[in-house]
Amino acid sequence: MSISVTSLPKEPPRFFRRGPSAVARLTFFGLISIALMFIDARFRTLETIRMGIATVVHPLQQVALVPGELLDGASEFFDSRDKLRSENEQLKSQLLIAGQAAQSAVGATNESARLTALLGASQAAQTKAQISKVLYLGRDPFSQKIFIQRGTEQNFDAGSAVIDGSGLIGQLTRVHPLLAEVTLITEKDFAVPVKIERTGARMVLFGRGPGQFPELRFVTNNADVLEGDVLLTSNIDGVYPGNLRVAKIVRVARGADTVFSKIECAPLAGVNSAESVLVLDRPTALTPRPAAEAAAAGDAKRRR
Amino acid sequence: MFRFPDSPLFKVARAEDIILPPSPWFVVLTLVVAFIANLMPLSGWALALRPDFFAVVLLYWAIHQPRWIGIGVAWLCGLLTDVVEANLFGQHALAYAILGFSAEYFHRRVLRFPLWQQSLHVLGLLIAAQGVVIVLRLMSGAALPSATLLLSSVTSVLLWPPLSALLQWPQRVRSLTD
Repeated sequence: MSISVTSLPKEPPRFFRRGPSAVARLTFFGLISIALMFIDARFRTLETIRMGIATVVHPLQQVALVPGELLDGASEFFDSRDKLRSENEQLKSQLLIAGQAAQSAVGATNESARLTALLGASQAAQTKAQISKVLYLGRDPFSQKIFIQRGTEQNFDAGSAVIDGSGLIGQLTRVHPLLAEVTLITEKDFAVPVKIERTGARMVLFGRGPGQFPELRFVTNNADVLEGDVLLTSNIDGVYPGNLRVAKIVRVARGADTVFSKIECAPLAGVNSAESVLVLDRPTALTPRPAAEAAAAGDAKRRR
Repeated sequence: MFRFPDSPLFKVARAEDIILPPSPWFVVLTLVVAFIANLMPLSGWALALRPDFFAVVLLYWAIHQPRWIGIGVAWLCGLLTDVVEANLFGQHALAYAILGFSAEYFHRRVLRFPLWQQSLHVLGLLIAAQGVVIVLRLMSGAALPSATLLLSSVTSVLLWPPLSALLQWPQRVRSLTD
């Protein structure tokens, strides 16, 4: 006599109505996710949805910041007098040095104004800056971002340069109603047009992702580049105001087997440690291209 | 055999035990608290070691209450995570939807094991979800992050036994706790 053993059915009986099967639902939501990712990566048209959800979630974000702020407040309360005094002295000496530098810059500024007037070029307006507090560092391990506070009356513009006391930090990439997202110069493939302070040679600095120094790419082996050179923004893109300090060259490796050198640069700004930052207004638009040249360029493009 | 200490901290009902149904408000509350816990402004090693509270609590309810917390809810939670982390829109949504699916697929089986063996199941599921995120980001051109990224799955799993006991606390019948 044999006992037939039937396995339990995988799906519950039909009279328990449970909607579409799990596989169907996973496929449905999976396809939506993939579509969203594709649209977000290629077209960037989901910003309004993102901003809407971010605004709704913002109060929860504020709640999460409370424990950290309490801790900070407590440690500040217990800061010793000595520490505060030494910090004060340090700040005073820094102010003296900065004042001296500013005084010596006056002469140079006057001279450059005279020269630009001689050349007939319009003098770039003084860039305006808005101060902002860093709320928290981005938690996404794949990208390099920080989030800064935005006051209700502050008029942030996506694309503006963000600096701290010692140099360029990055660029505003998303502006939400109450906070703004800054992409750091260390983000992978984030490009900043720079020039070397010593020689004025123009180059482009590329970020390489978390934990790695940005590098100057496509610089030939015979270029005049030394370790310790300071890089300034060149304003060739019209995005960053000119002459902001960006990075310092820490390593130059000239390979015999390659055309280009490998040049690593350390950011001068406290990219991950700044507590407050300045958001600079975008520089005034560059003068438009002359009509003849633009037409010629158009022709060239069409021919290609 | 290895056993957890016999304390109420690690005691949960077995599959055949009868416990009270959870209150829907409690489920929502725990999810919100876990979401806020994920939003803590951490960086460096603290961030690398931070368990993914939201994923663990989500997985707990998806395993214990699959009728309430399923693939759709998990997907929505993932979408919220994507917005606050400011990364690719939809990556956590897909990863959490997969978590929801595997919870639905495994929930009858997982609950038959003692807590530490449940943890091993959970470890597998969480690493699979993280693997999905890593593959998606690499495909979209991000740099490969350091391997410390996977540490958060391990700490999340360490959280599983005490969290299970804690979340089941309000559902205990008196005879079980006595």
